Amino acid sequence: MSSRLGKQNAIELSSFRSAFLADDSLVTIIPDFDYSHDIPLMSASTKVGPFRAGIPTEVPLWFALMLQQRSLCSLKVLDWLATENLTRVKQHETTQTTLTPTTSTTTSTTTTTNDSDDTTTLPFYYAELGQRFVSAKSHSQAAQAPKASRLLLQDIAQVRLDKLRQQFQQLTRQQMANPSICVAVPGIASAELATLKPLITQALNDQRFLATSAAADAAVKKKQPVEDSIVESQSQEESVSGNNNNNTLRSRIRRLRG
Amino acid sequence: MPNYYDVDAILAEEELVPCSTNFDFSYLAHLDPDLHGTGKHYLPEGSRVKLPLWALDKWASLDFVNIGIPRHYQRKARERLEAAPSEVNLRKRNERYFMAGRFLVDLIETSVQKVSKSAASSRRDRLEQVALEAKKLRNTLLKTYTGERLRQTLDWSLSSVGDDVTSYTNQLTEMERRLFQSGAVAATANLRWRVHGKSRWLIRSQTDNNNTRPPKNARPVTPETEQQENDNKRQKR
Repeated sequence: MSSRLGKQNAIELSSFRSAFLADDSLVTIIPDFDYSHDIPLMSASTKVGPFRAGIPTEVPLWFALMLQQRSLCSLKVLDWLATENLTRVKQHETTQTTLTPTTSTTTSTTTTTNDSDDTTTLPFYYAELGQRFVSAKSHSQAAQAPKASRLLLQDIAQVRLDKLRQQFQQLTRQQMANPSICVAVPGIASAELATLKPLITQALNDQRFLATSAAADAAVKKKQPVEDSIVESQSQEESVSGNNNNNTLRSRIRRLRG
Repeated sequence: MPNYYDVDAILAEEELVPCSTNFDFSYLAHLDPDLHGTGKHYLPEGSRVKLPLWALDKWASLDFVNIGIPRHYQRKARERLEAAPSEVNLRKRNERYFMAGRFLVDLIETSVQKVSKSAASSRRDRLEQVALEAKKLRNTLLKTYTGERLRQTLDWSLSSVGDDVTSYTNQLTEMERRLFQSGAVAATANLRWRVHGKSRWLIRSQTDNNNTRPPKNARPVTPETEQQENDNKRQKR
């Protein structure tokens, strides 16, 4: 029982937690100060480089917000929040059945990719970042995205959630007899994940519970590696049904004989 | 039978299963309510009693009893369930319909396996029949759980935030209620983040329904130094 309460508390804060993790995304700032050394953040491997006033630098969002509060920098508007980009993404969402692919924004974005010009991607934390930068009253004066972006973001979020729901409903129609399902959802973003994950993982766990038999469970517990256990449980089930078939065949032959 | 301490499993195993004894049981006449008036102390062979699953586990594998299937898991009930999965009120039959069903199927399959090895052929046919019914029951349970009911639960949980959904959840078994709750909590959390997430701090008082934190004016055990008090005042501003 206590584990269930613990899980519920974890679910209640999941959206806030993903917003916290979204603050790790890199944004471009224009600092107002000079600092010629690296500043290590949290570990020696991640550091924020030397700052020179007026030169755009990439820092994590939480660092940028902290600097902005102290009037030490100005945030540049995120380029994926521009209206044209969002209309393009919305077009993609409404016409295609797959989700727009998402990219990670915690790594540096200065490397160019070899994709064709037609790729439209969303950051993994698009909803959280969008909420932070698009608000009715602009409490942080600079770096507000245009008003139209807000509606576009809401539309995009709605369309994606509906698509995921339909995909899951289709899955329930087709694949449910299989006790080892692996669902691939390319392009899912953090906000949708936080909303859908608890229910879907619980549903798949229950489905596995109902689809396997106790004999298969015992076989699974004996074998440690996961792939072996899945193969073992399937073969165990087949052998059990095979025995039943042999028994009925033998009894039928006996009845025919006399 | 899974985790020993799982409360849901314990309650699901309370499911009463009809069975018939294979020989006389001494001093167990109290199990059959029909024998209360007579002075008999023993349970005669072939008497039909209803026992919970946890009691039948050992007896079934030792071939002391023949297990039947309860009425709400039999063919007629199954067909009614498959015809209209989302309208049937499974909670009325058993609050843990799916769990009890699965444990029942497991029990029947393991006991039939053990007993068939050393049984007469006529008995073996009957056991095979029961095992076949059990297998069909498992398929029905799986199909019902993961079909229309799951889709409906998903839709209801994600779209009814702040509404009174007891009319829907009253029909759900415990497993489905757990699903509904995880979906609803996640959807509510998402809405709360969308509405309140722009302010700097999570408004703690709204989530503290049981008054688990001490009131704001409570004096701490060790009084803060003046320096710390000034710092706190500055932070709160």
